[in-house]
Amino acid sequence: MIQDEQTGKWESQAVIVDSLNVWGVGNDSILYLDKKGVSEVLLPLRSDTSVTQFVFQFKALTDTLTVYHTNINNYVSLECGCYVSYDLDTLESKNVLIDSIAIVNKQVRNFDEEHVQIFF
Amino acid sequence: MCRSFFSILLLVCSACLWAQDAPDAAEPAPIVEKKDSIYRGIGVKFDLFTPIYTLASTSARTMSFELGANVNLLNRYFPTIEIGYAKSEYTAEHGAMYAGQGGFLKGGVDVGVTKATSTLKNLFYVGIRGAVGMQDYNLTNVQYKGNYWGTIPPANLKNQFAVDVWMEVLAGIQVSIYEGLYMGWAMRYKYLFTKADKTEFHAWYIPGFGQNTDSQIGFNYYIGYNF
Repeated sequence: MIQDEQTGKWESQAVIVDSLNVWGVGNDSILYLDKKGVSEVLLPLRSDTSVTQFVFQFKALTDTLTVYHTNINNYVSLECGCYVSYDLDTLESKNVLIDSIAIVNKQVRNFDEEHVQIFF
Repeated sequence: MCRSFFSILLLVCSACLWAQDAPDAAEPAPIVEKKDSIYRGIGVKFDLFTPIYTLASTSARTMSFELGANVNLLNRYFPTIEIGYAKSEYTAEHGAMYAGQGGFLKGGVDVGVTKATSTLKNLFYVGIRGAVGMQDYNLTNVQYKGNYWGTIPPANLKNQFAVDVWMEVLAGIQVSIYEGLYMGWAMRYKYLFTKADKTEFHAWYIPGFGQNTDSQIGFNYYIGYNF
């Protein structure tokens, strides 16, 4: 949060984080490894369960983001098959690295929209 | 006196004979009455197009049979019912498969647009149908898109049941071959009322309608007989 000098109001502003590591709990693959200049991350949710956890590691601080979601099966066609979309229910963290979390858009239907804001 | 009696008797007998002949003279009356009646007979027809197309085509995935019957009113109006059965299988590129079978029933009326004549020979007509189709079907091996968390087992839906309702407008001709025997062609535009939620699993094919899209064009080639 930053304070506007003229109005005095506190406003959120996207920050750029260096050396960020992000991976999913229960998955050996790392989504972001020592990533520089990160202002947004794409976090794929699980389709086989309604809880997905991610570990955020920044320098010596490590936090776990837990996302509770509802999975929605979507049928496209026999040729194109199916995909899963999601409704975000709640999010929580251990508040070590992450200060708070806000859901911007509960419906996760595609990847080019902002759904969650994470405050450090 | 006796001669007069026989003359009178002869006159009476002649009158009786004339009276007995009178109904014969009026014999054409019932025929006239039949021509003026609303009901002119019934007809049956069998669609040959789909069975022939299926046998002739190596890519056809559907076998469909359709029978029709109609009532001839004034050689112009033909209340019609059509019943049929269809079976279809389709395998998509990635191995997903639909297999279904079921029946359909259509009801409506055809109206001759050419001038009605005393005998039904050749006819150009337009018509409308309300239709319902029911089927049991399976969707198997429908693939999911995988992501960071790995692949998702394919969806398999067995013993699904579906009812679909649609309407048809059609135009056709029928040509007399021999006495009551005729052949005919019809083209139909079909509009589906029970449109599937595109994100829900649904049948790939609807018996009597065709592939499960909002609308379809159909074609029939009939052999029929008018009684």
